[in-house]
Amino acid sequence: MVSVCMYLHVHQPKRLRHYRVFDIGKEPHYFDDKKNREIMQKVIKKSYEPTNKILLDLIHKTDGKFKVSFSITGTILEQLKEFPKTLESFQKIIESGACDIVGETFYHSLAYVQSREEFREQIKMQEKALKDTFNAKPKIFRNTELVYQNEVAGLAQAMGYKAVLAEGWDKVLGWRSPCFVYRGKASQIKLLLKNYRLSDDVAFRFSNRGWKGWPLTSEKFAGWVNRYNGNGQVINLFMDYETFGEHQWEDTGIFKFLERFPHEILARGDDFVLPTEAIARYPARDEIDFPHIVSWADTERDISAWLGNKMQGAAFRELYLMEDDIKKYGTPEMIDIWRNLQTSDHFYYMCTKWFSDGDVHKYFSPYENPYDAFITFMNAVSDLKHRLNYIKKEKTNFMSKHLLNEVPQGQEFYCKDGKVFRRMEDLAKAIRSIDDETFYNHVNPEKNDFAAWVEGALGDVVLASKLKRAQKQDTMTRIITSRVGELSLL
Amino acid sequence: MFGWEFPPHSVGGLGNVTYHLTNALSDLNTEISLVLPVCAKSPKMKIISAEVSVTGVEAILMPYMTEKSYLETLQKRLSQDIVRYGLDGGIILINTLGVAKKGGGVYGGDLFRELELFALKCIPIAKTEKFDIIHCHDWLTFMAGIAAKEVSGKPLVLHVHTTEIDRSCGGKNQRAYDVEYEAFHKADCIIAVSEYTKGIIVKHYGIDPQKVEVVHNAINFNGRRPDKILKSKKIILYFGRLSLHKGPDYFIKAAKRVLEFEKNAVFIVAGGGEMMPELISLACSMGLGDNILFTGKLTDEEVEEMYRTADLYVMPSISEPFGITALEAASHGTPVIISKNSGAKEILHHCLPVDFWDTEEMANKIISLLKYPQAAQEISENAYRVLENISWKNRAKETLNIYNKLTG
Repeated sequence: MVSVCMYLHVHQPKRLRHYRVFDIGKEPHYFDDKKNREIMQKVIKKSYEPTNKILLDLIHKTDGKFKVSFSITGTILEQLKEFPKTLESFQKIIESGACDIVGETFYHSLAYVQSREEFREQIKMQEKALKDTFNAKPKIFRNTELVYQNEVAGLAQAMGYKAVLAEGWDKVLGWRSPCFVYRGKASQIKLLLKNYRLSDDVAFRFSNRGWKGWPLTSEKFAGWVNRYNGNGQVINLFMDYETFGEHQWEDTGIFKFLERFPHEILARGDDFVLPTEAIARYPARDEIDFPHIVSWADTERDISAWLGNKMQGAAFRELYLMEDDIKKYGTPEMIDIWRNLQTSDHFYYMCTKWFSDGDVHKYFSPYENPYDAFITFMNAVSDLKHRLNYIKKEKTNFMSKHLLNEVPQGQEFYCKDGKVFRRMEDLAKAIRSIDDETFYNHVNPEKNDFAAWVEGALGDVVLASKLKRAQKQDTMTRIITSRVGELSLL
Repeated sequence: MFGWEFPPHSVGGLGNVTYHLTNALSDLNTEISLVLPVCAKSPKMKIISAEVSVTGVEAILMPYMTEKSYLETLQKRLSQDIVRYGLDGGIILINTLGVAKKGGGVYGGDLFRELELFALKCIPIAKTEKFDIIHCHDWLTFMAGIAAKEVSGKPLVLHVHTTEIDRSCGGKNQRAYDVEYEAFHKADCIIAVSEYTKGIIVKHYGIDPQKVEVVHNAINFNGRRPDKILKSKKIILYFGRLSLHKGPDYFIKAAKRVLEFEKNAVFIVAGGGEMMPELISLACSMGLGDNILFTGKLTDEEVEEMYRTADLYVMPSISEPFGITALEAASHGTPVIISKNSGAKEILHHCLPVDFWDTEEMANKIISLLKYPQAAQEISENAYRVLENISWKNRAKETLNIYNKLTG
C-alpha cells in the first residue's frame, strides 16, 4: 500500500495600484483594493467555490478516507474576510478532521532569505491567524515557494514544528526516492518531499495536448501512483490550490478528475494520509543534506524567479533596509504595509527570465512588463521610506543643534531676489525683508519652498511642519526666529 | 523591386530598408533588378551589392512625399533646370503632358500625375527585364507596381512601411488613400512591417488578414556595445522628423512635467521638420529654456554620438508603423520608452510602452528610470540579448518564403 499525501497551497497577494512617482509624499495608499477584490471574486467563482464543494463531498462520501491539507496565507485570510461564505467552506473542511493545516509566513514572504527575525515573527503571526480563524495549531511547516535548506529545519524545530515540506529535487536526493519520509540534516525535523513528476502531471501538464500522458484520466493517474508499491511509501502531491479551476480551467475536465481520482486510488488498495499521519506512520529513512536553497519553482528549483535580476535585488534590499527603523518608529499600519510589500508575488512580477520568448508568467502578472512592476513597487517603497524618515526625524532629531549647521554644497536655497541661504539663521534674518512678490513666488497655495527647504535640506521636520501651516510672512518670521533661539540655547 | 535610394543623410527608414533588404536578399542568391525614382542631382545608391542591377527612372519622388512637399520640390527643380514659365503664385499650370523639362524630360506637375508618369516610365522596364516577383516599397511606387503586374502577369508584393492612416493623424488625403486601397486589393501579397500595421491594413482598407504577412524591420547589430559618453546631466532624447504623427509635442509636454521633479534633466529634440518653429515656441512658452535643445538635422556621426550620450530614448509617435530608431537606440544601450501605437515594441520586448497622449505616465516612466538605475540597466541588457537575434538576413529569409509561396 502506498499513501497519497495531498497538500494544496492557498494564496492571493495584495496587488499594488498604479503608483506613480508623482504620488510619492502625497498619497499613502498603495494597494489596489478594487482590483484585488475583483480577482478574489473571480477565483472564488472559478476555483475556491467548486473545489471546496468537491473536496468536502469527497471527505463525506469516502467516510473520511480521502484527506487533504492546506496552507492558507494570512494575506488571503485577510482578503477572505469580505467573503464569509468561502471562508466558511474552508473552515468546514478543516473541521472535518480530514485536513491538516500547514504553517508558513503570514505574508507569503521570502523573509527567510534576508531576516531570520522577521521570518520568525511572520510565522508566529500566521499561527495566531490560524488559531483565530480555524482554531487550529499547525505542526507541519512550509516556507514560501517551498524554499528550504538545512537551516530551515532548525528554525522550524525551535518553533515547535515536527516536519517541513520541501521539493523532492533530484540533485539533492541523488539515488534516493522522494517517496519516503526523511529527516533534515542535524535535526529532529522530518521532511516530506514533493513528488514533482506526479504533482506536475496534474498542476502543469493536465491540459497539455502535446504531452504523451494526455488525456490524464483518473484511472491512469491512480495506476501510476499504484506502481510505487514496493518502492515507495508516501506520494507527496504538493501544488497550488488554484490548479483546480484557475490554472487548469473547468473545461479541461480538471474537476471531473478531482472528483474521481480519490475513488480510483482507494479502489486499488492505496490510501490518503495527512502529513502528521505520514510522519507518525513511516520512519525517516535517511538524513538529507540541503546545503543550498531549493524551491519548487522552474527547472532551476532556485529563487531566481524572485531575486534573480538587478531590479529584484535592489527592491528586496531597499525594502529590508527599512526593517530596523520601521519596527522602531513605524506605526502598526506602516509595518503592515511594509510586510504586505514583502509578499513574494511583487518580486515575481519583476522577473525578466521568460519575458522575451514566452509568456509563461504573464497570465499571473497584473503588469504589462517586469519594468513597470519594479517602478511601481519602488515608488511605493520610496513613499513608505519618506513617511518613515519623517517620523524618525520627528522622534529623534527634533531638538538638535546640528539643525543650525550649514547645508552641504548644492543644497543652498536660491531666493528669487538673488539671496542665497545656507543656514536657518540666514533664512531667519532675510525673511522679514523679502518683498511681497518674491515671497509670493516661494509661498503660495501651490507650494511652500521655505518649508520644503527646511525639511529637505536642513532636515528640521518640526519647523517645516509649522511653516507649512503658516502662510503669512510675519508669522513665518516669528516661527523661524523663535526656532533659531530655541536651538541655539542647547 | 521598386525601392528607394539610400541617401547619406537618411530621412526616415525607407531608403535604409531598401538597401539592407536587397543586400540581404542578394546574399541569399536572389537576383534583383532595383528600380529607383531618381531626381536629377541626387546620388545613386552606390554601396549596393554587385548582384543587384539598378535602374534609375527620372521622377521627382522622394520617400514620404506629400502633395505639398512635391510641389515645393518641383518648384525648386524647375527654378534650377528650366525657364520658369507657367508659375503663378505657387500653382503650376500644366498642359496635358505635364511640365516639360529642358532636354526632353517630363515631370507630372502634381504628385498624382507624377506617380502615373513614373508608372508609365516603368512599363518598358517591366517588359524587358526577366523576373518572377514584383516587390514595391511604400505607396509612391504602388502604381508602378500595378502597371508592371498588368504587363507581366507576375505576382505583386506590396511592402507597407506607412499608410495614409499613419501619416495623416485623422485628416487623411483621400487620393493617397485611394491609391493605397486600389493597390492593396490588386496585390497578391502585402508585407506589413508590424502586426500593428497589419491591423491598420485589415481594419481601414478591408483586406483579408490571410493576405497580409508581417516582416518586421531589423538592424544589423554587430554585438558591440558602444561606450556611453559620460556627462553630468541626464539626457533624454527624441529623434525623428518633427511632424505631427511623430508626436514631438507630447515629448515637450512630458519634459515640462519631468523638469518639475528632476531639474538635472536635459531634453534633446533631434531632427528637422515642419513643426520646428511651433515646437520651439511651445517649449519657450512652457519656460523650459536651457533644459531643452533643438538640434535640427544631424549627420550620421552626430546621430551616433547622440545615441551614445542619451540616458533615455523616447518615441511618442501617434502612429509608428515600425520605428527603427528604437532598435538603434537599444543597440547603444539606451532604454526606450515607446508609443503603444508602434511596431518596434513587438520585437524589442524590453522597452516601456506608453500611450502617446498620456504625458503624465510618460513623465512617470522617465523620472522612474532616472531615479532607479537598475531598471534602466536591466532593460538595456535584456534588449541587447534580443537584438542579437535580429538581423536583415532573417528578414530576407522570411521574405524569400513569401516569394516561394507566391511562385509555387
